[in-house]
Amino acid sequence: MKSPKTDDDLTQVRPSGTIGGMVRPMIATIKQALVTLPVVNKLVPGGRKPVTHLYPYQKVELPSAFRGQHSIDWFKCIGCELCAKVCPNECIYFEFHEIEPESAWLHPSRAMLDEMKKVVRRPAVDIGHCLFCGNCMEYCPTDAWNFTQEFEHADYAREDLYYRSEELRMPAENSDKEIILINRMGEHPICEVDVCIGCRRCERECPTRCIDMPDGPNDRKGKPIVVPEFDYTKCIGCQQCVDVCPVDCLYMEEIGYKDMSGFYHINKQGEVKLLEEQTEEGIARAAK
Amino acid sequence: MIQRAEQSNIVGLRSKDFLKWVDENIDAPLKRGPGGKMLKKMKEGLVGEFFNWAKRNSTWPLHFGIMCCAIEMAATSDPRYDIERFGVIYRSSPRQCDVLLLNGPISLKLRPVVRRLYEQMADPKWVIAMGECTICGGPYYDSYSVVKGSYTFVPTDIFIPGCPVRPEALIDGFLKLNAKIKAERTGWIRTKKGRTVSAREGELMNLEEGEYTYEVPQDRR
Repeated sequence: MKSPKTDDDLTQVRPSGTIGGMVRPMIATIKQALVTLPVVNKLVPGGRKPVTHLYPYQKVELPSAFRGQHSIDWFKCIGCELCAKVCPNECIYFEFHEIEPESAWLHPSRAMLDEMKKVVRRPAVDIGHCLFCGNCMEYCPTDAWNFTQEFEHADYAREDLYYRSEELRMPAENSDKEIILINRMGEHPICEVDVCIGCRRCERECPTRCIDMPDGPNDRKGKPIVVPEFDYTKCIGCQQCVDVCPVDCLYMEEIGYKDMSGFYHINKQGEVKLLEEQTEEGIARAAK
Repeated sequence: MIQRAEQSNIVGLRSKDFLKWVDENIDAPLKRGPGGKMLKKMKEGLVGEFFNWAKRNSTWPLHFGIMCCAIEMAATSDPRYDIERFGVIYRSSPRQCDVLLLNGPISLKLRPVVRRLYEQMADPKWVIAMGECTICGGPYYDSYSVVKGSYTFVPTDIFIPGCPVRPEALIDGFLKLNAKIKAERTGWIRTKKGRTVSAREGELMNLEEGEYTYEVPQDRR
């Protein structure tokens, strides 16, 4: 049937009671029914598939980047707490695990280098508070943080939504155990040499061991104070050294961009300089 | 004006009071009679099973959207994830509902309204907290005007984390509510981690203290 468009169409009496008035809508209905019937739709031209997914039995294919349950690769995690720092909801907290020496979990962490330490830090998540924004995965310097496709987290009690670190551990066979340290924060620490007291805390805390402590300026008694020197190619920008510093002599600064010739650095005046130049100037200033 | 003497004869309109009245005045005399045992069996076995089946296959939620999770709630009832397959039909009046589906951060201004909606619903009733905003405040956990979780003022039965919750996850939440209603007879149900909690509605809440109790009921295996 045509839809009324002109005035003549509207004034016309609609055929009802005739064969055309009854049969035509009937044909339309039957046609529609045949097109959508489960079995017949394959035989009829223009047949359509059912759109409903039978969810509990037949699951929809999710995109590969879907962020569901967290899973952390314990071989790669170095316990730097960077994920807890970038988390907008502060739902990540860390648990301490005391383990045997020569355990596989110790491998990348600083505990391996400190023979006295037998404790590793691994993240745990409150799933009931998590935004699933993926910041933790994005900023993880060792790619230890992953997300699985699982989304069925619904539960009967609030306290069961706190997932312990061992429950989020990735199975060992899924891990490729290759660690590449990348500074995804785009920041690295700068030391104010005059303020530093040479307590070596940052050296002890650094998860990647990028801090070396050579002799710096002399103190009042004429003895040299040890001052941290950073290897910025290894630094991951985790701010551990800034957090532990007792006199606040360290602060974070942005890195410009990476080039073939090495790291570039933007100072507070907005000048882009090579890191070597910056450090040389700093040393010269300190000598004066 | 109702006289005071007359007041005492009026049965309370709350369904729990009515059930208590039925137990005292109709059930108890019948039980004392000869067919008491048979009546008990009928009520708990056949009729109870039937009512349980009817309850768990018609969990009608309230059509009450607070924030962005309401879009997912709408998507769940579309033909792609047809939630009416499980008897979930959205109703606009709390009088016709069994489930209070909360989706979004509950501000301090909205809290009394939600509480009133919960009170207006007829027993038995359940509450589903959908999305992290309802569970614990979500990204607004620091805000001065957002309630830190629906469980602080209504007894919440199902918590569905996600931001936002996928439509399938909401269906999964309703299926878990079905499982909870089915387990009402035994009174105990296992969580995803394998812990045993009470399956009776509002059992985990102590509303008189005004706080969600973290005490776990005794394990009975």
